[in-house]
Amino acid sequence: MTCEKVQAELPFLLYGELSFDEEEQMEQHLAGCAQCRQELDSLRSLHAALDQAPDPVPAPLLMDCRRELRLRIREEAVEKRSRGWWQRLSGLSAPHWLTPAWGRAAGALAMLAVGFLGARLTLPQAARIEPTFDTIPVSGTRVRFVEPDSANGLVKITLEETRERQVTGKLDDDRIRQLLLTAAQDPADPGLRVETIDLLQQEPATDEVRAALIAALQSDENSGVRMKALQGLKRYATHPEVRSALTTVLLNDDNPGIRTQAIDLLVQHKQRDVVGALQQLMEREDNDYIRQRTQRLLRDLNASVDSF
Amino acid sequence: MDEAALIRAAQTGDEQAFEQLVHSYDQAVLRLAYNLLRSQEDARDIYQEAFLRVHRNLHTFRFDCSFHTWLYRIVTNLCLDHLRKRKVRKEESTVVETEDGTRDRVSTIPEPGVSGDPERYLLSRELRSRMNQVLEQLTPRERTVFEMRHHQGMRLRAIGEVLGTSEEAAKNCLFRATQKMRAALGEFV
Repeated sequence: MTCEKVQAELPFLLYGELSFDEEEQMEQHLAGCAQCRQELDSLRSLHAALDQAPDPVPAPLLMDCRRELRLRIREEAVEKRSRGWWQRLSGLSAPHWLTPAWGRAAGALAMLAVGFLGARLTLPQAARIEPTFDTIPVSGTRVRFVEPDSANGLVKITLEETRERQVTGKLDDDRIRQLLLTAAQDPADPGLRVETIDLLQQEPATDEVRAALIAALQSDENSGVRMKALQGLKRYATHPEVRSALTTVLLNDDNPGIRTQAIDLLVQHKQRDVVGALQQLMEREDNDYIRQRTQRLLRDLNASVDSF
Repeated sequence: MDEAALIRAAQTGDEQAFEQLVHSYDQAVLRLAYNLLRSQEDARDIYQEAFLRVHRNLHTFRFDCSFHTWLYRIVTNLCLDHLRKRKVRKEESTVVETEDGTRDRVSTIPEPGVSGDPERYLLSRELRSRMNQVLEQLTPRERTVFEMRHHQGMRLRAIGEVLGTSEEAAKNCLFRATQKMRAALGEFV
């Protein structure tokens, strides 16, 4: 292979996009060519810089997007249903003078009428409609779906109810802690999880808090939450379970920022329990910074960098 | 429930299944849109439009390709359109007018955390600013391919499938993007 060809393929070598044979040829050339090796180092540095570059997506943005999407899907569903009703009504008797706007109003009135009529007709069988109108709280209630049932004249309304309640207490209060531990696992709201984890790390060190932080670090889908959990675990960095979690993260987390923090924490407390994991890491890690830190830690622990 | 079962359930109108499906992909989609468009508002628009299209058209999905590919086709088409329109409108400048006066959009992008060893963060403010300028200079396709390969970790073959092109064409795009970035950032790395 010529230097020109090798240098053209270097980016793809770094991205792991070459076949086994191509990689072999590249490695052979690189072993004997200082200029191409220098070129590879330069590209590695570029990759390391680019790895740090992506801006984190602000956690509240995702939640806003999810809420807005839910709302828009609901609006589209309601619109689709009312269109269906209007089309059915207009199919029965559609006078030419009736504009679509009038039609929609007429459709809405017709639905209302069916609803009232349905409620009146079914009052003797009130047990079938629950809750009754009197018991529906207006605030914090949102109509999610309206499903007219023409067969028996009922209207089925699906409500989404939000009832907020505030509780106040100190961080060391068990009840507050339990609520925080629950919130730390709320699957729908990463922003809430970040804030909760942040609070949990200010709490007195307990097994429960440590376990919650480890769980968040190892399994939360949001990297912001994992990063917060990692920060919270700093004070437990010598604990065997935490060190085990850090090595798992080091080997499996796809976020280089988190892996970087994990190796920094492990480096602070030089214990031999992580040697095996570090040697495994050297086999797969492609981030230059993490590789350098890992190599240094292995040397400090008098362990072989090449023993894998 | 595995992904195929989720899709089938969502196709029959199961909104919970649809939501679960969205949540499996939406972080990556939002990150892609945000990194490509460098604007929260634009990323939010892409997110809404992409998943609304998925919701409206999911019944037409026939498992001829992976759901990931199908979704990313929608997302990347929206992003590419957006980037092309931006080019046409000559809106490459990151400077925007706000109520508080003129601001550089780059300065509104949050900095990476700076706690701990500062040497860990190889990017100085200047380098970040330069990087944003370079990204603006890439063509929409180069930028999209680079983002999908470098930050989303997608294989070139999958990128080709998403963009409706060959693996080779995606490879060429990535090569050009890398060259441009090296030329512009060489002094920093």
